[in-house]
Amino acid sequence: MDKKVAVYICRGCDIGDSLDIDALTSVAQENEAAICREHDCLCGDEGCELIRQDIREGANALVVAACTPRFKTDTFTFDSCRTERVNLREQVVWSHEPNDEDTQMLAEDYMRMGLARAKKVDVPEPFDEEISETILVVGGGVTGLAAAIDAAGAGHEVVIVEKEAQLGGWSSKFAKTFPHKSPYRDVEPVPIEDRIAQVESNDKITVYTGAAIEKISGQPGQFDVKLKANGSNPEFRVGAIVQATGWKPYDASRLEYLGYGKSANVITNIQMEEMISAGEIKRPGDGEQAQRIAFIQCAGSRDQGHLPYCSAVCCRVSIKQALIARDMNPDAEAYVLYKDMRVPGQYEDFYRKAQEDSGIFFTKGDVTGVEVVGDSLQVAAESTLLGENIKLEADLVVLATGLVPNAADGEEIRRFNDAKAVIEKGEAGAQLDAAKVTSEELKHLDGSSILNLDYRQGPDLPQLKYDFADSHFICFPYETRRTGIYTAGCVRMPNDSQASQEDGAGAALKAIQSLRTAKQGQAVHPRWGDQSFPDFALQRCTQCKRCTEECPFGTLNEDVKGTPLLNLTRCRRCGICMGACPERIISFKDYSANIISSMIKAVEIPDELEEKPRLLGLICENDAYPSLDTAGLKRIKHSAYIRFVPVRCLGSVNTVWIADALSGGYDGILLIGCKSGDDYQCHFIKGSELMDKRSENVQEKLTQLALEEERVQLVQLPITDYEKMAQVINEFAEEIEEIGLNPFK
Amino acid sequence: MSGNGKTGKILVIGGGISGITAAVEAAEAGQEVVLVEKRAYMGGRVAQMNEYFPKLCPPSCGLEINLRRFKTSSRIRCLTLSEVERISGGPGNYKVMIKRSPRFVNDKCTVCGACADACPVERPDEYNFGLSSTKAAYLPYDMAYPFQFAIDGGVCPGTECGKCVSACEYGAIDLEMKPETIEVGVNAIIWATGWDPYDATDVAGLGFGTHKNVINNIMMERYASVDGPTGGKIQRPSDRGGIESVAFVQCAGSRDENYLKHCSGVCCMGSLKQARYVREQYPEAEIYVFYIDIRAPGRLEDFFVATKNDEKFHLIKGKVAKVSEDSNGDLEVVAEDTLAGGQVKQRVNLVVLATGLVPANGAGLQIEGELQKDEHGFLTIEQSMGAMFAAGCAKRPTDVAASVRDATGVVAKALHFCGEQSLG
Amino acid sequence: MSQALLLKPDSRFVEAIVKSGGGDLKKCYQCATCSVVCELSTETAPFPRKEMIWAQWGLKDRLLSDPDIWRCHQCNDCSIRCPRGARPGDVMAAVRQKSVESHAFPSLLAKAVNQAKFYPLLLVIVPAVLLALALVLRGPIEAILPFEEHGDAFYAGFFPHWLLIGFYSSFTTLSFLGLLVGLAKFWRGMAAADKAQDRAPVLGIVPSIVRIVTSTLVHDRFGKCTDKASRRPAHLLAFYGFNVLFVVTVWATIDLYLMPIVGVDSLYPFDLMHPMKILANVGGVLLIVGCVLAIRDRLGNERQSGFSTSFDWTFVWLLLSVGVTGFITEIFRFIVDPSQTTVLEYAAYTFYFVHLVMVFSLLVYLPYSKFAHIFYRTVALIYGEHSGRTKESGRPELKAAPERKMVASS
Repeated sequence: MDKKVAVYICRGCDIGDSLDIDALTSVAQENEAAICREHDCLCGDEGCELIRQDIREGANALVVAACTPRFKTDTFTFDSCRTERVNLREQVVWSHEPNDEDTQMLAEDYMRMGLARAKKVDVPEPFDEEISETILVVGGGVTGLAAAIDAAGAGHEVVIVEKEAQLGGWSSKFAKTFPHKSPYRDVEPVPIEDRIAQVESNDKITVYTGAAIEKISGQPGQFDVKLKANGSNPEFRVGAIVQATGWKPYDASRLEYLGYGKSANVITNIQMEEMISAGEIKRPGDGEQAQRIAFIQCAGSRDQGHLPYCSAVCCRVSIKQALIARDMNPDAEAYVLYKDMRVPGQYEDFYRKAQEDSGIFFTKGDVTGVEVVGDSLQVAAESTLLGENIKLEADLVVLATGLVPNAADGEEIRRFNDAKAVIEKGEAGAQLDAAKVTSEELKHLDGSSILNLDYRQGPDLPQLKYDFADSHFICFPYETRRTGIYTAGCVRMPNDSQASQEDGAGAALKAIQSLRTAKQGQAVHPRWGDQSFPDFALQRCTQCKRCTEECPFGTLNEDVKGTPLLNLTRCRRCGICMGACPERIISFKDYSANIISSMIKAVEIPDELEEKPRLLGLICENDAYPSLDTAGLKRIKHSAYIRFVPVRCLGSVNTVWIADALSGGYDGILLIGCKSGDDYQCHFIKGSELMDKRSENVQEKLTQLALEEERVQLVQLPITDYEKMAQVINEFAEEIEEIGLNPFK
Repeated sequence: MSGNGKTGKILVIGGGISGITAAVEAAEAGQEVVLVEKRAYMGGRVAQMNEYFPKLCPPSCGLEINLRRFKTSSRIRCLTLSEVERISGGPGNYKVMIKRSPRFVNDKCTVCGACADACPVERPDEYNFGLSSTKAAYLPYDMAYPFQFAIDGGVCPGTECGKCVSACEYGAIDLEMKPETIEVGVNAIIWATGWDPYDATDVAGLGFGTHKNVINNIMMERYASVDGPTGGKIQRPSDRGGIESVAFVQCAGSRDENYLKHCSGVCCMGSLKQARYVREQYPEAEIYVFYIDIRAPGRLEDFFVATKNDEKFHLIKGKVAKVSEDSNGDLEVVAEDTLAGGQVKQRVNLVVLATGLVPANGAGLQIEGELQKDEHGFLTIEQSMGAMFAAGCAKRPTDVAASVRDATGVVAKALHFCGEQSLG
Repeated sequence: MSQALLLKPDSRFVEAIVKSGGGDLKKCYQCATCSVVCELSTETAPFPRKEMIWAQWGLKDRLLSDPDIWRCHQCNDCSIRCPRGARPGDVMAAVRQKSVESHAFPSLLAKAVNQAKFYPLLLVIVPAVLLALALVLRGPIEAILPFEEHGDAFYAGFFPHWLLIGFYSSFTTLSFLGLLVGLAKFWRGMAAADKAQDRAPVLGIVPSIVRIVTSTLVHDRFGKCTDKASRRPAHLLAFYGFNVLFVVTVWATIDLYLMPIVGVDSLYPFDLMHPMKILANVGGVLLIVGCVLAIRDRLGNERQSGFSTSFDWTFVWLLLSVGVTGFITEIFRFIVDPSQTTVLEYAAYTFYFVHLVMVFSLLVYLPYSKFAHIFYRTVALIYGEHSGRTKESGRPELKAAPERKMVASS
């Protein structure tokens, strides 16, 4: 339907006093605004009524020139038509000289950009797909059971897939656990049996034991699962997945310096659990009862040569085992040698309890080795609290070995598979040799996949550090790079069973959320509620595969020719594919190469005689844009030569915009995004990083055009650095003025 | 809602990171949410933090996203300056009385700031831990949500002054506002009441409150924050001087039967993080951390190791029991180096006490059946009243990521009591 | 790895310390708050943190030859501030008791003297019997060697001075020999421990002795204990009370036996106005008041005064009763008329006898009772000065903080 664009200019909050509103009005009219009104306080009842009245009379595309879109959002949201916000307050009058020519030009340009956008964008209509509301839980340990129980409790069908013959995981192998609730002093029985019973008696939950996943294809709401379950191959559809595949103990055979393998009487904490379950703590060597038991903490953990991380539970586990050992044999003595006693929060009370036991001895100490002396063992430790290095005699040494995640590295397995494919194809040349090397170095990954996802970017989740399939975000621990698939428990971090169960519940909620959101054709976090989605004009696709490769969320698969196959509900609407596409065939209804280009072109570029540079700022709407608003709130001034265009993510910036801008006469382009690198802050994982790569070609383009490379710059700023933001802008403006104007004006 | 998932209404008590998370996660899973916060703004303690460990990223980055989630979701009702007064009923059908204190500023506020300019009254800014002041008409902080001024009824003389009323062009100020009590019916309740910093003035020998340059870790966060009292510059309170040496005193009250029996869980990482703040601003500064056990669980160990490897960073295993002040405000901290076996007397410019977390929950609340607390005052995992769940630091002292995981998890538990039950 | 100590955890010794009042020692988590709050602890040789972990692991040898346990005057500042409620002050006291017991010779006697069940036998029956025996043997002995009784003392009629002196001097000599053996063992222990860490003495024995004795005379170390100032005067009174009485007794003996030899007539028994008599009475009062104060302290707030064991109680009560019975005996002497026998006379003799029994228990068991602390503490402190282990060597800072320059805030 045709657009009837209505423009509303607010005079409030210094706007009226700092700008020539009449001039602004005429700019709107020149740019085909059907209606243009001004008001002293647009956000007030009267102002809003003004707008509603026009909507009733057919206005269907609104431009509100007032404060930042981050403010009064509800007030200016009207059913059935989009509102474009022109940020005259924070980013014009509050951050520039009032009643100044440049400020006025800035306001007018923003008005033009707003109108250009309003004319182009359409209201996205959500897709409507058949969504399965069943949740698949991979792993039947304490975490998986919790996830299953809570998902079922929330009213969803659940399928549990467990590789072992029975449910329960490690918990069912342990006789006792350290306390998880007040008063946090006494060893408790493991409540796993009731959990299993709860699951088995729940008619919403289906359990496959002795089962493995053969294949998962599809997307959130439509995952088609094929299992290998003792002979049969059940197939079914689920909507979302919780991966709770748990942990395995660190391989103690690598801990020979601690005597493991040298003496049968040096055991791991897992072997200790087995003896406790068996009801007697004996020396494996000679079957004698162990009177003196030494616990060596951080055996392989907090050790750069082994596991650099802390396994988080071993301190409490050893305390528990010491107490149990004392309980089983009151004459026994337990010695605990620790690096730091890590018993956080109320668990301190459990440590206190163990200390009060006359037969348990604690000291800090760095254990340097364990020697076999006669039929007993001698533990050597340095930097102890006893004021000297010690040797300690023991009948039994228990190594508190750490946790290793039971995860598979999707991206590495993908490399391996790709290499295999190349080899099978038998293409000759360097590519083949490279493939051979890769497949050799990665052959240990063969068949290591757990989820066997049919994703071009690999059959399992990408991993964070040390093989944990965790979120990188502190605020968003359930952020996942495979939409609809959430990890929980020790597969994502070393954790005790209480925390793992809470985590299981959380993952269950996220799974539920993802499919309920998919059902409404919406995106999940961080663009929750966004109903737009990428549209591929495939007839113009050149199969360059950039979109498939660069999508951080594995949204796209490929057909044999390499044409992208969209999986809508995997998509997070970041627009990175759009930024990647050299043919610009990818677009959203309200966000496309075309829309942004037209905004860029809408700016009036003064001719060289005026000597007013024009700078373009493509900035991240999540962090840089709010930061700029805050600068405005603080009345921090910056150059009025720059025009900002907020983007969903710097990764969605298509280099064509830069080219257009430069050929259109802009003198410089500033890209402001979030931190990249190990501690990246980009909400879409690698936006700035990708932009950084792309700007390499941009630099080439600059040289082609014989332009200075300083004209395009990328900076990374955290949301809090609004003072630096203004400074960066001004420095950039000065630099460009020094370089001189763009010859293409 | 179609399909077989349950939906209902959930009350979340506390607008800190746990409460905000519980609210948005519940709303995005299709639930109606009432979020009650006693302060004038959402964000709680994390809003006062400069950076998170171990990424050293600003909390406002995540808050911005979460607050956008508020705006996007029509299902959340945020009640600031509000406290739960009474809870009755039972699982699936609670009746909750909520007392709303007046903000004296209504939704017409445009944050133009005219009221603050006109306001004659100053008040200590609790957001900056009293290290700076605001007018009685104030914006809680730069990125506050709701983005709206408030007037501190405690200090505002009211209508007899009324300068702000005439200053406001938008009729956003109403000094006649009265407290009101509203009732809501909900299926389940999530306690995300968070924590308060332990008051270190009680702790013998450490000189908090008597020695000017002995501060606590929250004050340190404020000093380091760009929107803090010094615009992000870490300084000595006594003379606004720079820092050449600083001592971090771990377990300042925590793990101590005389004060806080529990370990506060996060102070070790907190101090390591703050050590980085100091090193970044003062590359020459010497850092001394006095500790009993360094508790950096899981991958946080990496951050500990990285910090420890800095040659200007000194770890001393031994608790500080004495801090004395000299004429120019420098301090001497005394501890025993328990590994070397001798006493350490270290002169420093600034002492930061790693004070612990005290659960801040359920005070003055009338409720059928007591809230279950452990001996430390934290809410226990099982609450007797069926559909009530504790999340985050209301339950145990823990870090942001763990609180968020927990807050997400309890929403799933709350869902058990939604949908099928009818709301009275 | 340098010479490592072969650790032999000894839970029996841990138990022993627990039983002797160190009940909370296992609670310690080694934060060392105690070593910092202790005013007597020094930079080079802080305590009692290391003693706490030695006690937790039952490292008997370390503890018994540790001079620092005697540097503690049990003000319990540490126990009050301990975050774990491990009460280091009480643990130190318990370890001191163990130290006395284990060094004493014969150690069997030490163990017995400190067990309540042997009190009636050792503290009452044994001395009583021995004294009775002495009285029985008095006749036969006088028959062989006629001692002439100097002066006419009322009590001498009942228990002549020659017998008194002979009796006590012989027994105390024996027990003091035992004490010397113990102290020697103790000294060797300390020396050995230091040799292990090759530390060489820094101050001669004599100057060390002088230093310690002079500082003991004013109780300056006691003065440093902050939280419990009242303990110092109490201890001072008892300390001076006892020493005055000791000196007076010695003088009396000299006056009685040595003066005549040089031709001076003995003034004994002194009349009330005789300086020595005045001194004696003053001493007695000091002793009694001191003991009463000490008892009141211990009965008062235990959190501060520390846990009192029978080891503590027997000593202080014994001291008090010696004082009290002493006075009673004295009073009787003035109210009884020696010329005619009355009931009072027998009462007087009875009290005198009781007094003698108390004195016996106090002096003869000295090396095995808490009384021994006078000697062990003194020796430990002297050793401290001698070895220089407690010297404040001005231990350098970990890393000297640069001198403060004022940095203007931007």
